[in-house]
Amino acid sequence: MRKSITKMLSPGIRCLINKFNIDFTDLLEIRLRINEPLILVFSHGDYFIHESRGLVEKKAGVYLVTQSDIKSTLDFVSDYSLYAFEDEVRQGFITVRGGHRVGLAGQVVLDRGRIKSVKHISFINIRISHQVIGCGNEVLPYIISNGRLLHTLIISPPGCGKTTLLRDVVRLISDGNSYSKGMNVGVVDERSEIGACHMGIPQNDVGMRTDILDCCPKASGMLMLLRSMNPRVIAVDEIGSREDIDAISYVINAGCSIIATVHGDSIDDIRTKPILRKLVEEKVFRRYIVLGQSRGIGSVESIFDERGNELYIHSYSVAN
Amino acid sequence: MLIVVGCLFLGIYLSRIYRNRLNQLQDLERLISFLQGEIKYKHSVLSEAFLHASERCRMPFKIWLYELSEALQNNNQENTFIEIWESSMSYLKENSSLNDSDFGELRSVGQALIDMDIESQDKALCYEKELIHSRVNELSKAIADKIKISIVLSTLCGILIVVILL
Repeated sequence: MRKSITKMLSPGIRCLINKFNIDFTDLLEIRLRINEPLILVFSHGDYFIHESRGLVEKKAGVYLVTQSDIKSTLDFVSDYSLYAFEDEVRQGFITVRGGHRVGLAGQVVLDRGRIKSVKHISFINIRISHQVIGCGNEVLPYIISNGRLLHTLIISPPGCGKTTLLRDVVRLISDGNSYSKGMNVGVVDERSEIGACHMGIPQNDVGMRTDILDCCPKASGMLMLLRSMNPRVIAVDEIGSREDIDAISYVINAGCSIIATVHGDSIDDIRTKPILRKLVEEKVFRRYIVLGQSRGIGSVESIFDERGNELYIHSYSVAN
Repeated sequence: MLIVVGCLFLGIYLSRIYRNRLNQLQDLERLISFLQGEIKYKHSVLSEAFLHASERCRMPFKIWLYELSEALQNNNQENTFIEIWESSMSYLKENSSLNDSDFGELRSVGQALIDMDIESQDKALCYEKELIHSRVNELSKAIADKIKISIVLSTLCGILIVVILL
């Protein structure tokens, strides 16, 4: 993982990171902002890099990102071919080998009101992908019944591991586990976070029976998968629009199981959102998994059934 | 007799250089079309585009593009694309009949490839292709005369050398 990340950094920044042998285990993000300090975001806090002292918390005398750093990083991230990632740049990010997501910000170029491109890119956020194999084992007994996945909704605030959990559950369902045989899973990976496909190849392990529609809108993606890939399960991340809900209803009526994630703190929080309230009231989902941070990122706080009965209370950290 | 024949072969060799240059400029034009297709329709990254184009090109571009693709893939992330492009041209300088102005156009092709926008890139490559095409046209018209001149002149030089020696 270290090599796949440092390979895309400019020579100056790469040299600094290698010089101080920075540990990537807890590294979440590398932030490059032109003429501002280089920031490394760890799970335990943000740090700058001082050219002689290494990781520091104070800003004085630290390494500042230059235009050349930004340009070199863009060249290496895109294999000297930023044009080939025109669609991704328009969405504001590029997924690279290893599943890491490189967010880009700069001046947006509009064409008849629609985003055509981003130019003068001066801000780069390298989000490090950390797949946690096995984190889904904890929830499997509660979401599988008679060898079938129950329609499941993972509820979590931002940054609490819902995509990580979703990814691992997809892997376990696809490969088979002690509760069910392996089955075809279709993933609509709108933001390329679940499979993190790079040039069409998933960079994360999502299981041997998984098909991924990468960078595809969720609603149309679900219908496409249903028509063409014969999935038993469809997985989507961050549902929220009316089109998503309509597509989910269609998928369920077609006999396919659904596992999805949504931003929120609890089932009650979901009920406050008009579009999602309907799903809860109609008992569309049979299981609700609520994540939090009580014991670190990805703690499973509780699991509920469609009636609101609590099936699981105690929390383990998904990151552990 | 040997001297005259030797000079004649020299003339034939020079005429081959003209013909090779014409063929290679035509190949370069085709190469740009391949690259345009790879970039515009397949959105291939440059290393992939060069590799695919090398499969459809003749020598010396075949090897040049292959090595360029390898250089981009195996680059230790120290050089810019233009630096890699420029250094790769040394192979062509040794193994092709292109002249300095042709290499100037090739340099411009390299600049066109690093454009961020596919549309601008395509237009720039179209422009370079047109320049090379006009060069091919000029050369095609003049080549017959150039070949005749080189053969005649070299034969005459051979005869002159024989006369001087005698």
